[in-house]
Amino acid sequence: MELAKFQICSECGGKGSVAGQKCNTCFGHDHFYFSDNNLIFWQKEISYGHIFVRETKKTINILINTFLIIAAITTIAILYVILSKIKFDPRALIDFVTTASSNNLLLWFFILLDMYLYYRLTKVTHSRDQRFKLLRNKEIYTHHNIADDLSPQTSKILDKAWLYAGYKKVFPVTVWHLLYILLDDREIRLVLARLGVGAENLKKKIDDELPTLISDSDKRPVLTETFKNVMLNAYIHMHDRQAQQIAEVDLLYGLVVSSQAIRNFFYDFDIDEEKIDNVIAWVRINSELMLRYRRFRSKSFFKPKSGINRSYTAVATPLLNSFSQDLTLMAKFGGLPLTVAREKEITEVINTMESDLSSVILVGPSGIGKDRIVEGIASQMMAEEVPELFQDKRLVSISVSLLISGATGTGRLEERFLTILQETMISGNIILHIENIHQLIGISSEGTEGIDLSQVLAAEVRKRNILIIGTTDNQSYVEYLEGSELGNSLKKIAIKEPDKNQTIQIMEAHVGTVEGKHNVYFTYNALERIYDLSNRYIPDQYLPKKAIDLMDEAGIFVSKAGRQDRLVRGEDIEALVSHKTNIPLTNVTAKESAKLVNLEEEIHRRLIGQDEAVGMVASSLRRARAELRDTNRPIVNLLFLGPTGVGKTELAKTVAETYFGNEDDMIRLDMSEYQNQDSLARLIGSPENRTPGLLTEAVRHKPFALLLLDEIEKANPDILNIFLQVMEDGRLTDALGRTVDFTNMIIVATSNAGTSYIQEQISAGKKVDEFKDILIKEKLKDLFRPEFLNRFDGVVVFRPLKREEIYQIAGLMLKKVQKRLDDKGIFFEVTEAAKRELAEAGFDPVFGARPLRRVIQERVDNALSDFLLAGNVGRRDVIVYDVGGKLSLRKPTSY
Amino acid sequence: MTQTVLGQAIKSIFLDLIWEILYFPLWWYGPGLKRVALYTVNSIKNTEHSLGISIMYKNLFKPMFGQHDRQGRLISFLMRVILTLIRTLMFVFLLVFNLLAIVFWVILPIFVAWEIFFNLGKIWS
Repeated sequence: MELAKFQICSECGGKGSVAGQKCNTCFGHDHFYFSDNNLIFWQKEISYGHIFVRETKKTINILINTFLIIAAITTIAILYVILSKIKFDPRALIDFVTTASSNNLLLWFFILLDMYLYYRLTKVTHSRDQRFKLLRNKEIYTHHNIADDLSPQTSKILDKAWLYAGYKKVFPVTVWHLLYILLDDREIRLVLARLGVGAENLKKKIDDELPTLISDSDKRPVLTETFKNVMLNAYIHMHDRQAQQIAEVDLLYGLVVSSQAIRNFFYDFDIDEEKIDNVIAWVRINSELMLRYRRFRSKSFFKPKSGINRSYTAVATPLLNSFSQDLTLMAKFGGLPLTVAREKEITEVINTMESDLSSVILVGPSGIGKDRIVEGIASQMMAEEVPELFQDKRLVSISVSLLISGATGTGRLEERFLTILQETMISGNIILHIENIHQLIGISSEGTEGIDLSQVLAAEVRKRNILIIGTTDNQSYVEYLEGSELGNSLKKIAIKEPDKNQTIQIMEAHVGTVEGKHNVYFTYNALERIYDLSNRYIPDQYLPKKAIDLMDEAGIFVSKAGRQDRLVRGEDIEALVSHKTNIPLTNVTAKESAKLVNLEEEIHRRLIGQDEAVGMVASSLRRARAELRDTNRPIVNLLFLGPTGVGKTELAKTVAETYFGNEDDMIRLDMSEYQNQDSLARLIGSPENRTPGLLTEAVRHKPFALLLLDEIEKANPDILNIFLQVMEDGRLTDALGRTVDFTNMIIVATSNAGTSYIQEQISAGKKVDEFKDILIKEKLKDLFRPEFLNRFDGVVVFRPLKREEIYQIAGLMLKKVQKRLDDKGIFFEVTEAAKRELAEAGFDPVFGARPLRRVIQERVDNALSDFLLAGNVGRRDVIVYDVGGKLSLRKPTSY
Repeated sequence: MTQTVLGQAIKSIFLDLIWEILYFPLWWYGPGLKRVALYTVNSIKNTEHSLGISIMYKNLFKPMFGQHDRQGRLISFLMRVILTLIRTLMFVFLLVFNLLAIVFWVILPIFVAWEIFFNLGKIWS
């Protein structure tokens, strides 16, 4: 977006005259803008007097037009009176025009007035056309006053801005006055609604702060230079969108481009000039679509209703008709939706087919809009807006499943298919569209296994007897068509996913239907977020379908939310995607913010000790939540090192629960099962057997989860190489050629490697930081290559548990027992001495907390089960566990 | 002050109105005529398109409905000649009608002016 500015005339220094004579360079306009051989200037007088003159003129114009319209009605009345008097006879007509009477005089006078009315109504648009033709012609030098292009509404807005300045007694007339008045306009309110901002808030802010917003020293009632530049940029914007009058949206654009202050003001409401321009483009796209729809409708009149073409060379195709759908006919009756933002692909298909009469195949994943492209071609064929090859032809879509169904008996299917091809060839006005053309491969009826339908079709296509537009998805193309006879006879056109701009345009064209269906209103931010989030978090589907589906879901989501405003905002899309994927995406709320700040405490509720490890994990989760991470890599890659039973897996579970909301959102792979090279096929699939891989399938189905690679040191080094790529690029291609997305995964690898060294160092009283470097560089170098270790965002060292920590863990484990009994309505208490005793029995510096679990199982759980089975325990009873595994019962004494 | 503004307003409106009335005949035979002529040309093009005259001439010797045998060709040719003739006649009729619209546009002001003067003159006398 480039700012255009009026320049001061260098000849007269902005005075407009030199030595009393009008300046020859600027023709007295002092400020001007020169472009394409046009001298553009701004000349509009605004004062009470001028506003009065303009308003009076407007009123008089309305009066004149009303008078002329009454005259037109009177003409009809006089004609009726005259016609009812005279006989219907040509001679009577001659008598009428040659006989004078007051009635006749009146009639002719009124006809003259009618002619004058027609002249008044059409001359305005005509003179505008002439002016624009002159301005577009770069050969002709033209002077042009921007004020002549103001629409009646925008002209009034400028007058009102001036009057507002007078009312508030705050001069000069600045961009703020203009914005204040502009905010009252219906169209601008619509644009702002699409931007998710209420005009009233903005208006109030300007009205309250107007004197402080204006810092100009010149207090005369004139327009500021910035104001004039707003008009210039609005004019350029109008020109760019090929309109002939400056509309309100042009003024809004001009304001944002020309004034830094207005830009800052809008920026506070999360609106920038790009968004404003995109919303204006949105309005434009809708009106262009409406125009295109009307053009297609008017042209549909010329397309024949039957299958016969306009030159009568075609023949009837009864069999083809019963297995197909005529897309051009559907377009004629308005049955096809408008294809948006696919002009490039449509042109490519048409050009390829036209170049040497070749048939084509559109290859792309499902949901990418292949059928929509074919429908776009059908609509253009209906309107005859296509090259000669496609003119006066039908685009007919054959359904393969319909063709095959019911064709029993030897050779029946081939006969049917050959007749259809024969009909198509003889008719000569048919282009066939075969959806999922790969379905024809290998199809033949019983007893004729030698040749299939695709070969029959390929032979005709090669001979140029018929023209085909086939469609298929990438996988089927590789699997069935590549290298086959049919595949070789069709020219491949790869259809790519639409980019952001195209997707948003497609959504904009479609949004009206969703809004009507669910009675909601989408903001621009919402559409942008739909693109961003569907692109990032729905990796197994394709644009634009996944964006449109998400838009539809968002419509339902907001309409069911029971809100008053029914505005679909960016935040709603974030909440919806969060709800679907369990990934926190919404803005961090105060509650969540407190939780994130105190994440360490939160984790310590489940995990005792390991402060360094917890600190490191907490900060990486905070980074990920604040969206400060690299989105092309996994959320975070961590390596947990340490002895067994110290909480490595427990911390991984806690991370899954904290970030994804559920500890089950975890894919766990025991890497000791992947010790030899052959196990790679189990992990990513085997191309020979066409089996999917365990890892790739799991991630494809659960792309938002924690991937726990247990005992990573036991895996084969080749398998570790696979993870090098995953951790660096966030993606992996499986044996079937599908790319699996890892960018929304947290990868945690655990390892017992270096345990004895860690234990030695801790026993020697060293802190983790002091020996961590040596551990990674020296002790692990035989197991992991340096580049592998380098891929981790953090190597977290877990130290052996201390006696006190085991005591606390015993408390946590006993709480779980307590919870289990709680569910049965029985209370459970453990005395302090018994807890100490259990912790002591379960303490083992080598095996961590695992022996403690066994001790609790053996001593507490076993004793409890015997006690419960004895049948003496009722609801609300309290079982007390004491030293030596003694259990006693306390009955409730009151209610 | 108010009187001056009012005076200026009336003067400006009056001058505009005079200019508009004077420009009326010029517009009628200039831009207005061009507009009607363009409209007529478009209308003729649409008529041609809907009747498919050029298509009929182009395919005069092509057999109809895929009948490539000798009889088929002969019958097709005769049918096409009849169809083309009928359509050409229809086109000529509509063409004349369209051209009459231009003539009507050109003579309308003269005729109306003449009628007004004629009626006025007679009534006066």
